[in-house]
Amino acid sequence: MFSGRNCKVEGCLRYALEEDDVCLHHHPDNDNVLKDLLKTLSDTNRHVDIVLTDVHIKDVDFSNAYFVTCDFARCTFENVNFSNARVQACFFDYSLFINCNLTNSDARHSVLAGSKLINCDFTNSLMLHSNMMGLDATNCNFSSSDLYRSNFSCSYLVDSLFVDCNMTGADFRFSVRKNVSFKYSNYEEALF
Amino acid sequence: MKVFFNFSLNEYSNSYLVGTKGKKEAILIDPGQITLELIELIEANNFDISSVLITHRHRAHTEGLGTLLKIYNPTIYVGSKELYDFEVVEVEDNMHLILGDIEVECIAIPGHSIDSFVYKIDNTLFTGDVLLAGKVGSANGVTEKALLLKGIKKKLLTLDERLLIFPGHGTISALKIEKMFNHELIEAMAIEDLESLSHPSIVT
Repeated sequence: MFSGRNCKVEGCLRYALEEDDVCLHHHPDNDNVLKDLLKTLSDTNRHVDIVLTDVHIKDVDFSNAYFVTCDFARCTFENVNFSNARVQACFFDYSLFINCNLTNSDARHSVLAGSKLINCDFTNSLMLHSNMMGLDATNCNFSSSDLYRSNFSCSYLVDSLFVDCNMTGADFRFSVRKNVSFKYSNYEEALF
Repeated sequence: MKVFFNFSLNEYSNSYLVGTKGKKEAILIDPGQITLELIELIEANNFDISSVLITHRHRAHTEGLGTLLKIYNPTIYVGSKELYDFEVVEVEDNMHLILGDIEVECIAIPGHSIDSFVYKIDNTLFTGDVLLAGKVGSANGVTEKALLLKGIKKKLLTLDERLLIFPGHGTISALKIEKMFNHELIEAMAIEDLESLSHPSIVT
């Protein structure tokens, strides 16, 4: 798991980069560090315990990427391609995803709680044991996904599809759903 | 610190393997079931289970102990030694354990069970059945539930809200997420707020 070392700049509440004493925002060469990090993360090697929070990531290809126990909290992902990526036990809490492609991704044990999703495609993804509490999703497609024991409680779901999903043990209590389809899914095995 | 997650079909419980890079000593938290995957995880990382932390004495969190003791020789840390018929070490509230190069803070929060403990290691809280993603632990009665909620409020919600939560069941989370979206906690806190406004004195 990523370490919770505080950024050494006084008053900063962000965690420091994995191999540094400061967070990305207080790094003297933050533009190049971000560029290098994104380039490294885009390959297909297994990346563990990376801390990259509070940044805007746009038009990046993370297809087939492999992240384990990383912290990407409070980021904005715009037109980012996560298709076929493995993002296991990663934290994306309080992030914004716009027009992102997560088809065929493996996001098991990951945390997207408090995030806002707009026009995102999660088709055929593995989202078992994922924490989606307080999610605000508009025009998103989760069809053919495995949502085994994932937690969507307190979420706000609008114009979204959950067609033919495995919903065993999934938690949708206290969620608000408007124009959401659970067609062909085993929704009777989920908690509403 | 490395944390590995192992999901067991034994009452859908979570076990956690905690170790550090390059060190042999590792901690296993809540061995509800010793599966082949868990053994492979331990051996692939060249770990030796030197310590076991038990969050509470319920079957889903302890049933793998018998198998584990046949393979490894760990020291087992528990909340109440009277509940076990083999050698264990009892922890106390606010106790700090140094296990290898890992420091563990023990936080007693009874209510779900009398021996419930939360273990804090680095930026993570291993909460057992005290606090789970979207809910708080069950309790046998209203008094126990009140005890549990008071414990959570006093001892967990006062901690750094960036702390990660690794519960005994369900998905991983963070303290800030639970403060914002755990409806049971939100309800309980709202009731407490109401209590301070209502209940006028009978005398006046």
